[in-house]
Amino acid sequence: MSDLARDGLIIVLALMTSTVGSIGGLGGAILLVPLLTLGDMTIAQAAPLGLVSVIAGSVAAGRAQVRDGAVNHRFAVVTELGASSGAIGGVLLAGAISERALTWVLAALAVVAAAGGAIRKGVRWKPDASLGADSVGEQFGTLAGVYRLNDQPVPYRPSRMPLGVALMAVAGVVTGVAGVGGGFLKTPLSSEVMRLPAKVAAATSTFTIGLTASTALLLMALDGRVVASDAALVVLGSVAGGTIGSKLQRYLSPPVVRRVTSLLLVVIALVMVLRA
Amino acid sequence: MTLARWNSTAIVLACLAAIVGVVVRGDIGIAFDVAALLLLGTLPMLRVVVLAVSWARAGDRRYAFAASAVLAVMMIGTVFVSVWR
Repeated sequence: MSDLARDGLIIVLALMTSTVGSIGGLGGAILLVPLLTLGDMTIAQAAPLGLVSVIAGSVAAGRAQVRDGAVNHRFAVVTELGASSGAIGGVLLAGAISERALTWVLAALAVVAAAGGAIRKGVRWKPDASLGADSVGEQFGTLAGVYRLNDQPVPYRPSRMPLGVALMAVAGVVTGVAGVGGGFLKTPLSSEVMRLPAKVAAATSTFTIGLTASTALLLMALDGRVVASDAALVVLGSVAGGTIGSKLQRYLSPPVVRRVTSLLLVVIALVMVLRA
Repeated sequence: MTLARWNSTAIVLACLAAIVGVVVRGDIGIAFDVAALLLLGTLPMLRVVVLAVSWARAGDRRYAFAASAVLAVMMIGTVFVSVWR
């Protein structure tokens, strides 16, 4: 394959995986890394590119998601406290668990999360006609907020936070051990355990996985594992993909977002099992 | 809204740097590639810094503290893991 064709293929793969990743708040690395290894790359070479893809997709999607008031930053920092602490523990534990066992555990978790999102029917939070368009966003001093659904303001209030943050810490351990962003665990935990609306959960998770990935990328850069020329290609593809995904997300209903997320989780589980 | 505008500016600059890095090869190209990575890589953390400052200014101390704690955990974790390795 010529250099030009290889570069073009990396851009296209990054674009496609970031588009689907930002719709469901799953990132895209978990899809991009296995695809890159089908070519001439090893997992060690592809993993940093996966992280670049997560960050680029996250910040690109964040542009529209912040404007739409879909991201709950207060919820993000509270849950990220648990997830980051868990991730550090996970990084330190890495190597103590066999890669094969870890892959099966991740695949099983992805299927459980997919089932959780697919089983639930309907929309949990209903529009409130008494709220004006200016009420969309986060509420001062609380984790509650209002998001826009079909141009109608919908109030929500997350619950079961202590359980959710504890499970986020467990998700952090799993992601730290596995070296993945963890969106496929964070999004279902936010929507199904802490009862955040699916769109807010996906948008908030897109933000937090970018945060986790930037820390992991820094560690890989310190190890000299980041190939800057390939990373620039991923930046171009993933920024475009994140932008497209966040725009598509705006027009999809919560049940559709949940089903897309569930479908992606099953695909991720299959990819993991095939790799194992 | 300021956060969204800030985010957009950094993304445009990162994309421009990445395009120059892809088109221009050699040391200059790599310098632009690295600039694009630095811009994007630091953006999520800068977003938390901006949030912590804006919440502290608005008097939302609890969440300003939570945002600062996330940054502290990440920094301590990075140092700890790089030393551990």
